[in-house]
Amino acid sequence: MESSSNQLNQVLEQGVRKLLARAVDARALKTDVLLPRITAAVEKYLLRDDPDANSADISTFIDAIQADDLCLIIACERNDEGAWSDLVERFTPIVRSAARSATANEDAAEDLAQSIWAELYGLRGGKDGQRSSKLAYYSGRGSLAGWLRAVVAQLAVDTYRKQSRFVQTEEDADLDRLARNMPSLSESHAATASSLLNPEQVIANRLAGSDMQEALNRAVKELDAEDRLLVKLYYFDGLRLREAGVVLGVHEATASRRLMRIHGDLKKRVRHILMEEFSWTESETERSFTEIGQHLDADLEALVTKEEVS
Amino acid sequence: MKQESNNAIDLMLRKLGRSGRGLQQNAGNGAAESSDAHLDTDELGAYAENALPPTTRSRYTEHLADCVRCRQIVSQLSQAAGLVIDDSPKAVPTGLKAFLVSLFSPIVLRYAVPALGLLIVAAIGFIALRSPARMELAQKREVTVFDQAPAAATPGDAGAASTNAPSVNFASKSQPQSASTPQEGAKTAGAQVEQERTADEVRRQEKEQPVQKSASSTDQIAAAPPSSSPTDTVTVVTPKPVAVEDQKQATPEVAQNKVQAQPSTQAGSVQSANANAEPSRRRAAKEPAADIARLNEGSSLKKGKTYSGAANESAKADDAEEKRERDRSDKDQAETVSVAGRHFRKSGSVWIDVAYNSSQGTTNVTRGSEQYRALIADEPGIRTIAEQLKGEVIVVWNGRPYRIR
Repeated sequence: MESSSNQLNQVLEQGVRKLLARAVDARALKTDVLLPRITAAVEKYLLRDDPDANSADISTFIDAIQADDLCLIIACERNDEGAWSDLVERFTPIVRSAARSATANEDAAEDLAQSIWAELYGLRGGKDGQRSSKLAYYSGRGSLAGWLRAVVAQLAVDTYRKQSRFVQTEEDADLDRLARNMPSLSESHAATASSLLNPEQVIANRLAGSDMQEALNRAVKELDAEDRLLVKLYYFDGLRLREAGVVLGVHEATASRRLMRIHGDLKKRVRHILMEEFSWTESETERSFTEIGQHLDADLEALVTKEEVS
Repeated sequence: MKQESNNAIDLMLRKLGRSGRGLQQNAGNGAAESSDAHLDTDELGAYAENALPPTTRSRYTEHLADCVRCRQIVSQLSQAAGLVIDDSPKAVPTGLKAFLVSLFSPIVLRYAVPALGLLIVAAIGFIALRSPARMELAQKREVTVFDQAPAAATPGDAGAASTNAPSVNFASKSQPQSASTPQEGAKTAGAQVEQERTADEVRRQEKEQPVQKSASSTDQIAAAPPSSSPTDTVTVVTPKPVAVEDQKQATPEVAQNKVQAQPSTQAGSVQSANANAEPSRRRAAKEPAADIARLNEGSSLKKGKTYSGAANESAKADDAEEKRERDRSDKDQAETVSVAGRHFRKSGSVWIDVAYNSSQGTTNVTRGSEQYRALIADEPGIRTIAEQLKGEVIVVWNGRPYRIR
């Protein structure tokens, strides 16, 4: 046990030495400074999921670490002024660009970018009142630019969620007031509204709460993680196939083929659930699928006609 | 039916997605999602850049499938990173397999197959153009050899002169005369023996003195009487008007000699002529290359211009081709440059990093785009390369190939 631990340390030290050797600018960092960070990264990304990883795997992992980026960040953590100026000079455009993408206007983007630098410098402070910088999270596994974009995106999402929660609460209150003041309005128009629903809504209503809906929900949940992620990205998040493919690390064509296969898998699973657990007959199941498919065609035709007329 | 069913699944998923978005937002806003459960920035960035080991990535995929917040961030980061993914996952081949894979990769084949086709067409065209010239030369040589026998023999040798094929013509022309000279008919048997001996002698002389023979061949053609064969007559090319005059002058003399050596019967004369001509033809057919070589050697002589002209053209074509090859290789060497410690070679209008493997996918980056600015901000070395090499550049940077347009 002890010998394996020693062997691991030796591999790690050797990897760190190689990393420092291949860095263009190692910023006068020593092996012992980098070793804890590299060890943490190896444990987090490699040994946790693959405890039996051998020396070659570990060496390969360390070789894939962005040496210069990691050295720059660690030098910044050690208050190296030169490293800080390099960081700010090199990555300000990236932080600004990411902030602009994540926000609605230029002022908000500038605020967000400033917040990021404050976070990185540790001005926000930790829980114990000590200076705590997000730089400590960077492992060098991905590029520094990608990591900074992640920091910006994370802060933007958190900020947006806080704001939207506040706005939504206000909107809900307004809606409640409206509902209290005009109770008769919704009742009087209820019948009219239901008759004005388009065929898609009719189908949706028919599906809502139905066995079919429940079967599909369950089938989606039973998909493996990769397929479920593709379904979520495409149907829930509204990404295009190309974008979903990029997230999954596959080509658009592969994502498309995979989605076709998922459709087939889901259909089989839904049919199985309906027949085995909800006691549907095969003809009922097929008729339902066909009906929905035909309604989809009808909807598309109606949509096209409407567009042509307008 | 199947399509309808798939459409049905697609429609239901869209519905589920629309209703799910509301649920997701509510779940995302709810307090149930603690920040501890989310991926940290390092994990998000590494996932978006596809820089995680497969098992770790699977774990995070599991999380992303159920976490709206992290999925949203990873989606943004992935689009920003602009990764271009290969169509299908493939194991990294090694050694010979890797070489074969790279050799037959679609990118290579895209250029190699048309290039190969062009090469084949060019080769066929070259051979087709050269073949008539060669055949012509062989035919000319055949005529030369055929006509060479009388010239090679001693002019004063009546027996040898009587066996020459052209003498058939003259013999036929002077047949009444030859028939009226019975004393000449007695020499026919001796003439046939002499004919064979002369042919052997000619062969030997050709082998021993090819250059001299070639040099004298045009003289012989010029001085030779018209051939008995119509084909030969057609294929004999008179190189110069002077030669024609020589031929005209020489003809009565030769004819006179032949009349003297003519056999008593025409049939005998034809037979002997054919017997003499056949070995020459066979030899000419068997040794076209040697003949052409001899003709080339003889090309330096003044009167060999007719034959050496075609051979010279062929040699010139070969020289020009070699020169073009040399120029091409020089150009290739000249179009290899080093920028920022990287070596690039020019392929068409594209500068390609020599470290680039054509089986790898590339990250496409357009100059001036936001992605480009971000990239050069990350990697100033790429900026140097992109600025120094105009046009499209494929550069392998930190193991990742980028195509900069």
